[in-house]
Amino acid sequence: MRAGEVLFGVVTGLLINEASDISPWLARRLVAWAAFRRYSDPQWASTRAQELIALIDERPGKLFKLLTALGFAASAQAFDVKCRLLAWLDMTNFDQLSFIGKPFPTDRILWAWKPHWIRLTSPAAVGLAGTFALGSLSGYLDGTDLGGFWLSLCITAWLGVQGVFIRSFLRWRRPPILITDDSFAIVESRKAQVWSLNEVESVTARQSRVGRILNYGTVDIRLKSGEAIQVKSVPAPWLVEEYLVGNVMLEVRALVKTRMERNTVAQTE
Amino acid sequence: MTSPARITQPLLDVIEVLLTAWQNDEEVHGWTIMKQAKRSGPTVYGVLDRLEGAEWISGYWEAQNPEVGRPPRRFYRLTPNGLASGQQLLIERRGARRGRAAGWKPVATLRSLGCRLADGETR
Repeated sequence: MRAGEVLFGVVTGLLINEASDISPWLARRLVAWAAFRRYSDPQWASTRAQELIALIDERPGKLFKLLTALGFAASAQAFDVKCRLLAWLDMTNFDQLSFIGKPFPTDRILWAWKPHWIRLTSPAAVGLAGTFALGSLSGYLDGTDLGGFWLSLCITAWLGVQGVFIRSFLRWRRPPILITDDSFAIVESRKAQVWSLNEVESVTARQSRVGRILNYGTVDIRLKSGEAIQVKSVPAPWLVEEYLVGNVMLEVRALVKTRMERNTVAQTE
Repeated sequence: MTSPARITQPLLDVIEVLLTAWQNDEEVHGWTIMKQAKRSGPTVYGVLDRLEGAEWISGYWEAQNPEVGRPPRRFYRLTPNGLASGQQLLIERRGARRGRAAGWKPVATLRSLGCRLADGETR
């Protein structure tokens, strides 16, 4: 055995020994961190942190303590990421609508529609077809002498196709119609056009046969100024009609007014 | 009384451990449950969160850890509602035979629970 190998063995042994000595300490820190990451209520997180520290002390084996703690930490981090992702995708979370720059006289958004998933079918089909076609082409080019340039081009084109799908998805998750207690907005990309509800002349919801089965349709909004607005792929389009010109809006307005009055009374008291 | 949102295999495992502990008059904490249920820590604590939220179990701290220098542990026990519902759930999902093999006796436990509650025992 060479001297280098002996030295390596000694150093590795020392490192493992040191690592296992700090493992319990590190494990306790990790589970406490995981508890505060996992639970939003600080009091409950503190209780759980103490409990998990006691659990780590019960768990035999220094390195096993660390592995258990890593499990808790990974799980807490995954939970946090999941929550953030769901909040990001949740269109009823009004914080996500800040991109339109608060165009409303009030910030009370009562309803927000996200386009129906049918809008994603075309980009998804293009993405799949592109993947299939470019994958086949890459396979063919790989077996020929045409060189790496064309192969690189294929991969770039494939990334472009995927980019188109991702862009469509990001656009899809934004609501095309927002209704507040006294106005409505049509959102396209990062631009929003806002009208007062009083400007609405009529609203018509149309559904094709497929739309009736899959619960989506087109909404035609005619304003008193004569302007016509058409919004496609709206889920449950009759609800827009009902909200914009039906009795629902009157009831909602009355409810908002009552709540505001109640809040004002509560604040003055 | 509410019920845990999702009935999963880890949830049934944890209930089985808690029922067995109740049957044997033992106290169980997180690490014991993990060992006996043969489930990972995050899985067990996810289940405990749900059970505690549904008020099927309650947690309590021991006054002092019997081993010197160690922090106190948090123990878990089934509430009367959790005991009845947990047993019913296990019988429905895993059958009475497996339940008996695991050490808990549904009918006897329910009867004994009735007696204990009638006697005013609050475990």
